[in-house]
Amino acid sequence: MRSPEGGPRLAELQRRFFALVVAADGVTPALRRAALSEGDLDALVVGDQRRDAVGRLEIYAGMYFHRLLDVLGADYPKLAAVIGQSAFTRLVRDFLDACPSQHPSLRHLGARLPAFVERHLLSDERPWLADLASLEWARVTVFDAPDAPTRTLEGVRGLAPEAFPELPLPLIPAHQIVVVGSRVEEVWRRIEAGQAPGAPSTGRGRLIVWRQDFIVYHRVVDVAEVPALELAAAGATFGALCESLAPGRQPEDAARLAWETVSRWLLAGLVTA
Amino acid sequence: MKFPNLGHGIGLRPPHYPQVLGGVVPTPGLDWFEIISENFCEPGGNPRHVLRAVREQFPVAMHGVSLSLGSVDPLNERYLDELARLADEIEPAIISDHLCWGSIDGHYAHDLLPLPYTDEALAHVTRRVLAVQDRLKRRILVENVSSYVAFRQDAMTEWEFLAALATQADCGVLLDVNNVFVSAHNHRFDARAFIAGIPRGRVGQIHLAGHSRNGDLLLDTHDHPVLDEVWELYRFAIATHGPVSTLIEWDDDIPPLDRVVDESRKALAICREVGLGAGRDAQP
Ligand SMILES: [Fe+2]
Repeated sequence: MRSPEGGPRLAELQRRFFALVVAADGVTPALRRAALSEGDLDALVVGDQRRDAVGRLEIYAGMYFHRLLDVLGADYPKLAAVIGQSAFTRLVRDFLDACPSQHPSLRHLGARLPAFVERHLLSDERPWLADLASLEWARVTVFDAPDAPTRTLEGVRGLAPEAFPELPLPLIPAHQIVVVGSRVEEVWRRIEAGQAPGAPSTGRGRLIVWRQDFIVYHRVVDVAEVPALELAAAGATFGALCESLAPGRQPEDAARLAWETVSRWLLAGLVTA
Repeated sequence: MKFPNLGHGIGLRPPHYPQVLGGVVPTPGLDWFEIISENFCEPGGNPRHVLRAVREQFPVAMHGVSLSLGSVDPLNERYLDELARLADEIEPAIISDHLCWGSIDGHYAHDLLPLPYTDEALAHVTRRVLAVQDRLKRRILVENVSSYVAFRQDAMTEWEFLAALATQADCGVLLDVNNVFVSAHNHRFDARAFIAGIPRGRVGQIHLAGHSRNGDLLLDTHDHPVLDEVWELYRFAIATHGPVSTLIEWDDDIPPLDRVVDESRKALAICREVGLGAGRDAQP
């Protein structure tokens, strides 16, 4: 369909232009795929002796890829460190081809990368890469998750004893639980310390990722802490947490165990008021 | 009709957050800050914290890169909601985005892609600017972009397009003087004709930035000080349009805050040389 001025209508022009700019293999192969000649492109875009039409589109194609590569490199620095820059660049090319950005903000560009890594060839040899990516994405997510007031250990200690059973334990919005199939936090820590990444020990587990005072932390969730976190997420009170620990224990032991867990959360700023 | 003249400001960028949180106060060359709206749309954490601290001391402008005003996709309502929420919280002096498109069929290039300057595109962008202004309940500024391609089907110049858009949508123009310079070089048009072609009273803000050379073309890289020729063009712009809010954009190889403010002071000095004084409205 032609526009009144000649040339394609706006929608058609934008579709063609976009396809050429985002093509993973470059402008010229994308033209060929679309059965367009350079002459066809010249009929759309003005080139000159300084830079022909293809060369001008290549500026956009290069800027597109490098801008998005930079963003993903900043979101996934440890993944990039493990596989190396050239493999990371290839991964990003594959990723953008399969999962083009669907959100106006670059902040969300990397959301689908962990799942993509899981089914990428890279995972054949190192199936734990997707876990490392999940950890990094959780860190990105909690970085700017909603703020919430937190309860302090002192504040809770100051409560009347009879208030404890009914004390709710809602966790802050700026936390995530990441289920992992190996100990990728070891790899993360070694890279952070400037050491060789190595490979993680095997072992399923969970990581908790959270933000306290604008800093993002993560740590391994203890096996005994897993049900406590699930209860807290389901809105349980301190009393309910004690009850869950009661079977096979003296009531004082159950209460002490519950308090150990909760005070650890309070110190970490994980419990919201 | 008139847009507030905030004086001379700089873009708020992450390398400067610690210094900003340490406490910055207005000084000559640092009258206000501009934020990239998308970087503050998420509800919590350090970016919002920094922004609140800045807003206590300074007027703030919200500058977006994702409205995709020229796209044939529907306007992204969720993004507009986020912008409206952010605007409710920080009460920006100015809201702006670009004369460009960056998305199609729900996919985003995260770039400021140029439009063909046709009647079809003009009618389309005019409708969209009107819709955005209705939604945000205020007039916005639309910025000219740097571009590396022009379309065969162009029926008017970029400045004719922008001038018609400003008049028909009753919006303002964010005149990026560096972008005018870059595009004028890349497409061989007269930069002064562009600036003179924008109707008086429509320029609500000016951007200044550094660019770099790529072979025979210029790229809008924002990784340098402002070049001499762009300063000359700025002098011409304020002599033509009067004093307007002026902002230094520095987005890559970002130097310390004071260095960016120095650059902003150069703009202030030119304002004084042109006889426009410190060139800003009294602050509320
Ligand atoms: Fe600009």
